Amino acid sequence: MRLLLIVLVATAAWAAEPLELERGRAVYRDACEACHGREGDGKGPGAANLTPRPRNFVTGSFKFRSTATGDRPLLRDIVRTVTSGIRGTWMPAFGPILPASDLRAVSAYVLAFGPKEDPPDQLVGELQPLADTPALRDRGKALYETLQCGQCHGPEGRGDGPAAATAVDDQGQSAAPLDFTIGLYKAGSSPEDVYRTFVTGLDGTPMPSYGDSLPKEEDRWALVHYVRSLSRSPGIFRWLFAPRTSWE
Amino acid sequence: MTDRRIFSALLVTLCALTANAEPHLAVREGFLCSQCHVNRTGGGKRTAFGANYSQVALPAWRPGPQSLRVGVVNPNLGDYVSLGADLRVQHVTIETVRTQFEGQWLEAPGGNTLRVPQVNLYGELMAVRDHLSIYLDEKLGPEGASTREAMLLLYGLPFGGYAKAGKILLPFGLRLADDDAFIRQATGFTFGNQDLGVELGAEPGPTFLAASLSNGTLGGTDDNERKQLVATAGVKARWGRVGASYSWNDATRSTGLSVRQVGGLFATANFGRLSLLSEADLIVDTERPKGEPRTQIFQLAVHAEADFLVVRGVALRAAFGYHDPDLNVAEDHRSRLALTVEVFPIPFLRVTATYVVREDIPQRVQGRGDLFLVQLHGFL
Repeated sequence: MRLLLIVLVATAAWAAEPLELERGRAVYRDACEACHGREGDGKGPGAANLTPRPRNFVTGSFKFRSTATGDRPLLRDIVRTVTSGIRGTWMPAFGPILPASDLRAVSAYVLAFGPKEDPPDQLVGELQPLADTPALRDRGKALYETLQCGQCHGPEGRGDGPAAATAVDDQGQSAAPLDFTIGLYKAGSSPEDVYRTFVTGLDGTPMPSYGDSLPKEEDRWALVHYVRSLSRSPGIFRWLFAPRTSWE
Repeated sequence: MTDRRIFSALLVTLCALTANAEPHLAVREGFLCSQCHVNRTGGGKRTAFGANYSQVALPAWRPGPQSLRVGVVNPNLGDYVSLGADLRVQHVTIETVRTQFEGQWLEAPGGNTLRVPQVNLYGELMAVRDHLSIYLDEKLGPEGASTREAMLLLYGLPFGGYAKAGKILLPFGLRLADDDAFIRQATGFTFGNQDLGVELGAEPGPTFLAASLSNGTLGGTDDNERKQLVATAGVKARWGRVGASYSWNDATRSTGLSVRQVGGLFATANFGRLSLLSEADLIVDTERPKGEPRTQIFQLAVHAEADFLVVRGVALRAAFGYHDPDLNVAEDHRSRLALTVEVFPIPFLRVTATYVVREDIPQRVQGRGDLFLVQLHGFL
C-alpha cells in the first residue's frame, strides 16, 4: 500500500511539471512575449525601442539571483522578479495582476529557456537583518571607501563615479551605476534586497559580487544600511521632472 | 433650419471630438506610435505591447486579492489572428450662444445629449508572422458602417522599415486624438479622411520617416491623373521628438487647376510627469482658373498641449488650438481651449471630462459655444 502511494505521488509530481510549463507558456505568451520574444531571446516585437533591452533568457544569465556569480537563478528568484518587476526599467510588476500559480508557472517557463543544468546552490537564503544603528552605518561608510564603491557609484552615492561613464553590460548597452540618493533599487529597496545584490552581484553588468570581500555578516549589513541611508527625499522638482516610466 | 437640426449639425461636427490615438502617452513614455499601434503611424488597433501597457501601466487601480487577479489579456488569438476594438459613449452639453452681427441676432441653440461617437472593430490577419499582415479597421458606427483602413502591411524590414497598401490614413504631423483640433480639421488629416494609396516608412536609429502616394481624393472617385504626396520625417529621443511634414495635393477641375500644399512643424518634449506637444501648419490653397490669374489663400493652424500625470492613472491636460482661415483677412481667427481630466480606473477603460472654451467670429455662431463632454472609452 505504501509503495502504491509513493508511486502515485511520484507520478503526480512528474505530471505536474509539464502541466506547469504548459500553463507557463500560455501566461508567457500573454504577458511576456511582446518584449522578450517567443523564443525568449529578448527580441520581441516591442523590444527594439526599450532601454534597457529585455533580457535574453536563452543565455541563462540573470542579474537578480540568490545564487553565486555565473550560476543560473533559482525558481524563487525569477518569481520574485516577475512579481515585483524591475524598477526604472520596462519590466513591470506582475504580482498585482497574475495569480500566484501563474507567477510560478511563467517563472518556470522562463527558466526553461536557459541551459538545462542541475539547480545551483543557494548563496543567500532567508535573511535576518541586523538593526540599523549609527555605529553600523559608520562602519558601512568605511567599507564603502575601502571597497572603492565610489569608483562607479560616486563618493556620495550619486552614480557619478569616475568609471560610471564607460560602464556597459553584456549586451553592450550603458549600465549606469545606480544613484543611491534616489532610493529606487532595481531589485527592491528592502535591506534584504540590497544585501542580496551585494553578495551575489549582478551578472552581465560591471557590478561584481562582494560576498568574498565581506565574509562577516556584520560588515555586509553595515554596507547595506550605509547605502540605504544615502537615499534622499525626492523633493518637488525631482517628483515633477525626473525621468520615469509608467511601469513604476 | 430648425433648432433641432442646428443642434444635430453641431453634434455631427463634434464627432471629431472622438479620440482615436493618444500621442501624449507616446510622448510621456518616449515612444513612437508604432510601439503600441499596429498602424505604424498611430491610431487603431493596439499591438501586444500596447495591450500589455494598457493593463500594466495605465490603470490607477490594481487588483489585490488573488481572486481578482485575472491575468493579462492578449489580443492575439493564436498565431495568425489578432483583434481589437474601441467603443466610446459620450455625454455632450453645448452652451446656447446668441451674438449680434450687422444688426441681426444670431443664435446657436445649446442642449445636451448622450451619443456613441465611435464603435470600431480591428482585425489583423498575420499572414506571415512578424512580416505581413492584412489589417482592417472597420468603423461600425455612428451613422452606418464603413471601412476606416484596409491595407496590406509589410513590416519587420531592415531599419524598422514597413510598407502599406490600401485604404490608409495619411502620415501627416502628430496623429492627435482629437479630430476637432484645428491642425487636424483645417489640414484635413483626420481619422475621418482616408485615401487609397501606398505608404513607405522606416525608423532607422533615432530618426523616423514616412511617405505616402495616394489618389488625393480622400477615398473618393479618382480623376486618374493627379496624386497626393505626403511625407513626414523627424528625430526622436527619450525626451521627445522634432519633425516636419509636407503634403502636395493637386486636382484638375473643370475650372482649372487647384493645388493644396500643407507644411507643418511639430515638436514634443517630456519632463518626467509633464509632456508637451505642439504643431504648427501652414495651408496654401492655390487656384489657377483657365485664363485668369492665380489666387492663393494662406491658412495657419496651431496646436499646443500640456499633459501632466498627477498619479498613476490620473492625468490633467490642457490643449490650445488656433486657426486663421485666411492670413490676408484680419480678425477672422478662431481659438479653442480644452481642459481635460483623464482617468484610467481599471484596465481597458478610460473616463474623461473635458471643458472646451471656444472663440470665433460673431457670424460663425456655431463655433462660439462652450462644450462640456464626459466620455467613457472602452478599448482593447
